[in-house]
Amino acid sequence: MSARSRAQFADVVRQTPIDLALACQLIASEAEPDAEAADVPGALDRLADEARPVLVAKTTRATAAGATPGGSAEELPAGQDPIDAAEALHESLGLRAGFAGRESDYDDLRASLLPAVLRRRHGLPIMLSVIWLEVASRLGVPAYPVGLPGHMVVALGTPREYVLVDPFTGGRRITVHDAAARVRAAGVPFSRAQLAPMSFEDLLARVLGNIRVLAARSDATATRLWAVELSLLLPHHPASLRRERGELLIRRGDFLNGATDLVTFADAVEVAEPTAAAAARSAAISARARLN
Amino acid sequence: MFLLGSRATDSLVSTSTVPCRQQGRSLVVYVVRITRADIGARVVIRRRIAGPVPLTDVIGTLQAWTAGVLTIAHANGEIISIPEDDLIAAKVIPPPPIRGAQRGRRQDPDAQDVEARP
Repeated sequence: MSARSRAQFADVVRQTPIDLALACQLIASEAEPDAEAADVPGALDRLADEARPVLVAKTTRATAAGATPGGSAEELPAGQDPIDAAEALHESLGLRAGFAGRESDYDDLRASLLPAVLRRRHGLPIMLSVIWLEVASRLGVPAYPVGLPGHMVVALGTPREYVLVDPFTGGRRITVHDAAARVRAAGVPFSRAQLAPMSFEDLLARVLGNIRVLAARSDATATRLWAVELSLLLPHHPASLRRERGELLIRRGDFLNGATDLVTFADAVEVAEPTAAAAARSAAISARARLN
Repeated sequence: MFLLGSRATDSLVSTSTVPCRQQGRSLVVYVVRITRADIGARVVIRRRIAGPVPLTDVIGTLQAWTAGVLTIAHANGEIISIPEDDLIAAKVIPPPPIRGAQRGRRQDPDAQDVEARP
């Protein structure tokens, strides 16, 4: 955690495309001092190197069985099938490397920290999805995240032709019906729009959201504070984050800055949510009263 | 067609014998598909009432089911007590659809935009 890594995070999330692995590594460096020095790109490269021959074997078998032969053995044919990619990633990342999720990951901060997930080979669905996306991109396989309510999965291919895989179960394929069932189980009506690519910025907001929620549950205000502050560095963020930071600062005894945040929040939502604005203003006044 | 049982034994499913209607050739059978295990769920209940219209439906949260009386909390806050004997049909229904201004508004981030246990 340093002013420099914060500045770098703010910079990374404004690039297009966002370097997901780097952004996740910077998030992790808030919690683990040695995360910044971890060789995340190297670890992902190695995983991609292990997956490449598996993918090549699958695609050459497919081309040998039917279509025209592709280029050399090391090159992926242009008419690549997303099913081959899904199977190759499941085999190499899920079965051989052993990446998958565990029930206990939902209560563990490390399950949201990319270097720890690469080391321990298990984590939240969203972190495993980041690994799938990074390895897919290194293999030249088009892929994008799909943020189902409560569960991130990965689509391999393009929005026109894709297969869905669930990295939390080692990258097993799931059908659109499975995805729809998950959406409905969360109490949300399903539509195809929910399978649209999620932006990397929204993905990072969700990574930080997971950390905030876990920290709130375990009452870890320091963790919650950095997660809120990183969320505030994203180009788009809800005004309520400002209020959350204000309340956290006040709880930690920083009454002046907390009050400033609450007033900023009140100004932002004055028109849309007058009640919430009024409550924030009165909380700001009582926080300032505790200054002396 | 359905697993049948009598209400006296508090079975999983019971059919109503009274208001079966003939519609063309198909018989409409009313079935009570809720049990005490569904307390807390959103349910729809068809029940007998006095008056010219013999049946009416109520949608709400099943709050309690004690001493042969079901307590339903309607969305408008009204609490309705229904004697078991007036029960004609019932089932669990999904949460209310999101309408109007709420549609398109970002869902509560704590509920939607985080990884949650399945």
